[in-house]
Amino acid sequence: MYSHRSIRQLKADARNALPGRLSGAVSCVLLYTLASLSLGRLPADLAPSRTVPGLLLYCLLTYAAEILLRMVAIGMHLRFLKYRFDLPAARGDLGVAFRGDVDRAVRLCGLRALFSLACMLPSVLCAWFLPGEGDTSRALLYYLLFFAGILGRFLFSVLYFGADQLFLEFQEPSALRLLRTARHLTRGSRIRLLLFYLSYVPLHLLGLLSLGAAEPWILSYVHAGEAAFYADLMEARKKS
Amino acid sequence: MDKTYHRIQQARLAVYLGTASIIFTFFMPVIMPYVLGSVAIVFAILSKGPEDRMSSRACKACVLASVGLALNTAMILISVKTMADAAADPVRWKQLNDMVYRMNGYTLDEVLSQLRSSLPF
Repeated sequence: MYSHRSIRQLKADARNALPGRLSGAVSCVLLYTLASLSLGRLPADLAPSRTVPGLLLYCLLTYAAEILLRMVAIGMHLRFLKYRFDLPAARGDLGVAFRGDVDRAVRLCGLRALFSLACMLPSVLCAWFLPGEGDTSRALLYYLLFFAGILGRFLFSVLYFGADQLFLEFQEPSALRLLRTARHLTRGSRIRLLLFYLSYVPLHLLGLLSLGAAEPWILSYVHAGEAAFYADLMEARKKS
Repeated sequence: MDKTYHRIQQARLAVYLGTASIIFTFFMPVIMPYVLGSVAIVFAILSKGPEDRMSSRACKACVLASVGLALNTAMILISVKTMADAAADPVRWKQLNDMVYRMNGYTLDEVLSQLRSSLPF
């Protein structure tokens, strides 16, 4: 019977994967952050009117941006998996989902982006249609819905942890089957995964204190930890 | 180059950043010490590598960064308290307003009213 590695051991694995590659990891994270910042601004800028067609345009653009970002995230996960297994990283790793079987990547990312959009839709609807801009109760409702959406997205990412890595490892054409495999993979380890993410909270607070300057290094550490967690889950699956 | 070499370099960088956070507390307070101190602690943690304990150099970096962060926080709290005391006394508040106006070309009242209007609610 395979016993899972503890969170401390996984974090030690993550730290062990990074020395000598930290600049590559940080540049990868920075590129992803840059892409997410620029694509995140785009829908709000291009859909200015607060009407139903404006909302539809906003949702469509957000969905497209989310798909693109998730495709970049697949490349980022590939880079960190290579670090985990001591493989040489290539310059084009970040764009791996944009090469070869793009349809497969778009299907998986589209499905995940749809869930993500569904989580954020209540807060978007509140901002779009509720009257009384500058009103305290409206702002509170908006922030409540917004943070609930963020929590939903996070729980969804915990539930389907490893979908990107499975996409890279297996040539499974069906996105739904890939997500189902990811859900099977995390079964029995979800609380551990949640605790694993929570163990990074003090570091994220430190990142907040540094006004985000320390975040690229912290996120590199988190992604390296995710790669170690995935490797541990796969090891358990092979042994069982 | 092996990983140990890189870990030693990270710990060394953490010490430099921790020292810089203390120095910047006196020359460029508020933002720089927080940035440098936090990054120093992150580097010190990353330099642990597969081991559970930090090296002595990384520990030193953590202590230096913590001192920098604590000093900076203390300076901010003292400044806020001074401002609050001055706000309670109209004569001192006017003196402070005049001083800020001479230094920057705008008064503290103007800054505060702008801040209030920029709040979301």
